[in-house]
Amino acid sequence: MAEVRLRDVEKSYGHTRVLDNLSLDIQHGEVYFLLGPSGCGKTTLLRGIAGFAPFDAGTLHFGDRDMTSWQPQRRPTAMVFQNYALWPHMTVAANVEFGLKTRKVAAKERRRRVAEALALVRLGDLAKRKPAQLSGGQQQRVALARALVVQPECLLLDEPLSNLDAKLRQEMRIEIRRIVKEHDLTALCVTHDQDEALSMADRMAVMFEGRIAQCGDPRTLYHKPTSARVARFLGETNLVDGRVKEVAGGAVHLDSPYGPLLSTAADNAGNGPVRKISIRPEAVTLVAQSENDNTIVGEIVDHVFLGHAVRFRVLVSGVELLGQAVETARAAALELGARVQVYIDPEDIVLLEPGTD
Amino acid sequence: MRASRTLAVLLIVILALVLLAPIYSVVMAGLREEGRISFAWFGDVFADPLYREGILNSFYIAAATTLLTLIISIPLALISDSYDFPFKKLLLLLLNAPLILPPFVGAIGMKGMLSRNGGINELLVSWGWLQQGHTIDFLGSPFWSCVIVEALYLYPIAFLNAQAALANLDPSMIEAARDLGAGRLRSFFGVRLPLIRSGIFAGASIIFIWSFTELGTPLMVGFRRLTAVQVFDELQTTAPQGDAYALVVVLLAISVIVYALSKLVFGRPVQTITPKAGVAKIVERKTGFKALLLLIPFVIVLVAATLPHIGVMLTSVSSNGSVSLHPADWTLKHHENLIGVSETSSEIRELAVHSVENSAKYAFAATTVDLFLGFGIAWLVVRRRGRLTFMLDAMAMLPLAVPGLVLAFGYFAMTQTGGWLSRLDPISHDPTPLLVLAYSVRRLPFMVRSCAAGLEQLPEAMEEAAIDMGASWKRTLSRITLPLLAPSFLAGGVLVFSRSMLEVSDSLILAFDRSTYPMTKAIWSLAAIPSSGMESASVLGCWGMILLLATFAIASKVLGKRLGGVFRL
Repeated sequence: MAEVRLRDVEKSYGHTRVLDNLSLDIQHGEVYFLLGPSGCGKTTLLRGIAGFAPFDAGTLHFGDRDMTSWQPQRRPTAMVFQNYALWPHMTVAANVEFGLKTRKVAAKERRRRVAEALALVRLGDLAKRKPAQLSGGQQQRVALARALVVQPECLLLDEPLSNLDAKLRQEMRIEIRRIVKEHDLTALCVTHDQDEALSMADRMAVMFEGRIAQCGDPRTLYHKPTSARVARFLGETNLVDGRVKEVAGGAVHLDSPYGPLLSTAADNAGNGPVRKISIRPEAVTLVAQSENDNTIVGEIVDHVFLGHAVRFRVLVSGVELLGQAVETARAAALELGARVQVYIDPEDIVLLEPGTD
Repeated sequence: MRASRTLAVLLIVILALVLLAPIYSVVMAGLREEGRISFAWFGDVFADPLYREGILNSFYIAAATTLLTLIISIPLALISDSYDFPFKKLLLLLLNAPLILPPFVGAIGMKGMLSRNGGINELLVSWGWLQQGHTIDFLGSPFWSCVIVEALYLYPIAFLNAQAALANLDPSMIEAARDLGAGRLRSFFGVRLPLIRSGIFAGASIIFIWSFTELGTPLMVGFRRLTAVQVFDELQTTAPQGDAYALVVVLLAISVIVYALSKLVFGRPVQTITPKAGVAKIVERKTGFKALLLLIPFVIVLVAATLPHIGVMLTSVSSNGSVSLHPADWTLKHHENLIGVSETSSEIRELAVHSVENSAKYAFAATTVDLFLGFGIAWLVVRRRGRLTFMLDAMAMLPLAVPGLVLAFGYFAMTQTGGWLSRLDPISHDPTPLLVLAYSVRRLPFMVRSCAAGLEQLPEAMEEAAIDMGASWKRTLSRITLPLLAPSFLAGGVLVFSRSMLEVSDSLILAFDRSTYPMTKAIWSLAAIPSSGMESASVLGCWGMILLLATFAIASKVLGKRLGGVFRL
């Protein structure tokens, strides 16, 4: 078991640079997520770590061992493929046993570990079935058992939940995290689904065009994005320009299209006079009476019922502001054209880095 | 990566040697006169009215045959694509029946059924529709006899291509057209036909080239003013002169032009966007009277297509020189002659029995060669896409465009130039290596396509998962790839074996000694015997059919539903 370290890796297909001078550290025992739109290079990175698409430049270390030029079959990784890649001519048990055979594990030990792995994914009674006789969720768990049984130093998961329905996806999120944590494994998971990454990851990286835009724990990434792209990719947000008027201690006074705003979330205020501001809709709440700062008056132009909450748009001096209210009687009474007061917590007004998009 | 590149280069070199070297030999032999390069032989060819007529006739036969196969197959493909009706599966399977009998044997059967004293005339007389002595010779025109016999053999190629093209068509394309107000005809000519055009042309160009250079059928029918027959005659009499080679080059040139035209001009596939979730095709189920109407074209084609087969069987049991439909007139004496039960010419017996052994030997060896080559090429082409493997793929498909006659003549020419290759000279040496080479090269495309189709169905992740689990490439190959590809191997193998068993042009051209004759050349040789030659030839033809039927039956047992894929190209 060891941490995974990538340094300055590059990969091109023809003239397209898929990975661009990328570095990444994954700690031992961590569930790490790579999140990005399709074509951003996240799967290439994963396949590079498995050894299927060797990097053109850069290094890969597991602990202090240099893996860069190792053949894929010798690497201590195990991959769960997007379409599972279960071998249709072998039973569930034979699929799981395969990796143990290549590692020349004795027959008795093999049987024990296969049974253990299948029990872990709760498929013990389906060992004799062929993959075609299983449901999608069961197939997914066989693929997971096949990867786990060889006790990999790094478990690689390529969009493992993308072929499952919504309910099963929820279950498997918890299940995979439980197994990885119980066995003290290191896991790297690729996805384009931000909910999946946010709910499962210890830490995560958001990738665009072969580069890592930002990495950190899910809360930091969600609440403190450094660029508009990251902010947008991780959920809905209000993006407007703001002018820094005054910086006093940890507080920043801004001029925005919504009027004057106070931010206490900006520790990077000195970086320029005009900046993009990101405000998550959850931070924009309906209030009955005016607070001192950051209370804004506007007109409701749209509202959408989401079940647990209501999303609404307020028009403030010609600019729309997206907000969210917990579903209550007052929120239910929202009417188009009504004048309302909203409040934005200063903690939730984020100044993005200049020069990013 | 480097290993696969080396392998690709090696395979390209091998293919270049076995494909381009014979073509080069023919072209050079046609261009060389007394050691100098000249176009004199071509001048001779075009100056000779007989040769000119031969080329024109070949062209007309090919055009008529291609047209006829399209007329037969496109309506059938359209019906089977849009409707479901009783016996559909059985009918679709039976449509492939022609492929188990080479047309030049079929021609014997056609003669037996359609000539003046053939089975059909007997039937018409017995029904009182015709009078004895006023029977009709349905095969009066050797030209049309060739066209009909060849078209009835080749239409499955056109049918399967049209069917595949229709099946690949996204049904929402048609639905969109209908939705926007296009009628049945307009959506057919405006949308469906343009989208399946490339598939149809792919099949049509193969059929054209095949019938353009067909040798066996005109030989049997007795139509001698064709380039292929003229070339063959030249080979039979003396050592072939330059004009024979020049004729072969003309055949090749026209074939290449046709192939290129069909690929580049008419056959360009329309770039389509394949949506992720396709719409399920709606196939209308018809029963009762409407189903009967749909069955009629199938039955007509099937009756016509099985006529040669029935004719061959009936000829092989006919007793007094005329085919009879009455079981009372049948006799097994020709079969007995060839097996050796009765006391007749041991020469005929040996020819027949040896030819079956020889064909089995050549076909088995060719199949083995193709299994290795075909898998290797297909793997590189599917798994290591690139410029190099694209070239490899194109090379492996080339035998489809090069007529068998040209290739066979090329191999012959290679052995006539002296040097170490003269040790393969089929006139003075054992032709086995040359025949195996010729068979396997010509059937290689079938094997490559079969393996490539299997590999494309097999996600690369299957192999990667094994490697990821620590398996070496050998273990991955033996435990994952090969077991999962077994159906493709079997399908491709059956096709290569069966096509090689009854291969015509290589066999006729490259086997000179009777003891080395494959079945087809033995059939040709038996048919030339004045008394009961046709009957003996039919017996051998029957055996061939039974052998191939057995092969297909075994394969279908193993492959299950996938047998249909055996014939697809």
